[in-house]
Amino acid sequence: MAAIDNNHNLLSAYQGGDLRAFERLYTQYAPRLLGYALSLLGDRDGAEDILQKVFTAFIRRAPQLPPETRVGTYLFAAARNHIANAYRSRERGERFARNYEVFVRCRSLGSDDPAENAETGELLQEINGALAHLSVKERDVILLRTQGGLSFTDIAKALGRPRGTVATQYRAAIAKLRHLLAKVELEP
Amino acid sequence: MNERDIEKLLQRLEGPAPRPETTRAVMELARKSAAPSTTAAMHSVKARAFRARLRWAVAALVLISVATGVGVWLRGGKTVLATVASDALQVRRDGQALTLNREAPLYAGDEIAAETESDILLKDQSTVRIDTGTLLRLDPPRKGERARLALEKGRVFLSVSPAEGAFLVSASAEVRVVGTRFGVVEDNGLTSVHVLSGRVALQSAGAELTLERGRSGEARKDNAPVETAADPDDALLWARDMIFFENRPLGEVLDWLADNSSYRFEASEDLRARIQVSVAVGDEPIPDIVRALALTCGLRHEFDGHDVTITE
Repeated sequence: MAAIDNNHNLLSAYQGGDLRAFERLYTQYAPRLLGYALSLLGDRDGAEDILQKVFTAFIRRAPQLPPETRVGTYLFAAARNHIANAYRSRERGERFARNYEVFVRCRSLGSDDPAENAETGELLQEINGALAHLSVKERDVILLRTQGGLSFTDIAKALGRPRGTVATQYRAAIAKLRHLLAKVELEP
Repeated sequence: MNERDIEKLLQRLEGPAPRPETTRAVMELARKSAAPSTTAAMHSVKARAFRARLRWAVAALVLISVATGVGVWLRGGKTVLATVASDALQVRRDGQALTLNREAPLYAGDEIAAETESDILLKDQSTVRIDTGTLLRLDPPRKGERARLALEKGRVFLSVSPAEGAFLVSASAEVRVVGTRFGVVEDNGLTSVHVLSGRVALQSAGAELTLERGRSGEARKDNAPVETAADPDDALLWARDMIFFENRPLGEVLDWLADNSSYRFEASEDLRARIQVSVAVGDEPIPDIVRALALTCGLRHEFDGHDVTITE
């Protein structure tokens, strides 16, 4: 998580006109933001649209952002706003992007061993399936925390819920995931 | 697998790679903005400090211009009516299609065809935000006028500084302004106006409708204008900047919200200074933002129309 939040130097470099710094930020965050949007909206076109909006707003605001800004927190909070608007403008049900591979790989699990890769692939499918059984609210909290690296305080502010409620929802959702994954393990 | 393992796994998951067209569009915009200019800083967290510096800079510029006898707004005999305040603005000038960058001058007769949301800064320091797909022409002001814009189609949001002289936006109906923030939409002969602050006169078919803060109205070509129930804040969400406040005084956040909506906020000086807030403000309705702020800071809030009182 620390690597995600310590991007002040990249932000400063981009503010100074270094395009490579922006490319690094984009490479780092775009798949995560896309996965987050996709998992809440359930449609790829909408998620790509959110991603583009988030980075367009970031590019516009970047010159005025204080150097201590946590880029990940900023981008995920922005994505959350756009997703909330998308929900308002289009009635969306509780659907998860089952037809898409929301999470397509595991960072730092890349291996030359086919058996290990197969295991990773299975794990991804399982977690994808388990996330589908959570409510949108639970997924929102879990992904803001684990994918965006937001603190409970930041999530509470982004969602307009008390911090304690967010922390409780997060713990409950993780416990539910564990239960769901255990069920998968038991099934033949 | 225990709960900590699940958390670790979730942290390592990676979403899909964005589509090439999304990446291309973002990178293209980033390239165009690679050397960000300070002119876009008007709505930032540091806006007040920036504006103070800007005032000194403008004063210095005026003094230098007077001292050297150079008319900075005159170039090649043509009057500069505005400057570009965002990147890659598409302009048609004397039959030629141009792409202009920040600080480039705009002259009478220039036709702006915005391909992305863009900003221009008028000579009187009023700002115009132009939505994607909008066609806007800068007409030469007539006697007694300080600005005249012709909106052919699309949406503009104007923040007009109070000053002498009429400020006009002509579409199917005509809009007259003194000092105010408002939006105009031109859509197939229907002109809609949404007012965030100040007063705007909508004129059509010899009739005039005055709209005040928090009001909207519309007029069809050759029909008298009428007031509508449209919420101006909702209608102008497209023009609002996204901003992230991190541990800023409540007063600063409320000032920004007031500057970017038709809402007015009342809170004690003590509250405004003492309560520190971290909040991301996007294009969400102001009541939602206020409720979230009050909830997370443990404050009370009361709406009276578009006036909000915040207490402890």
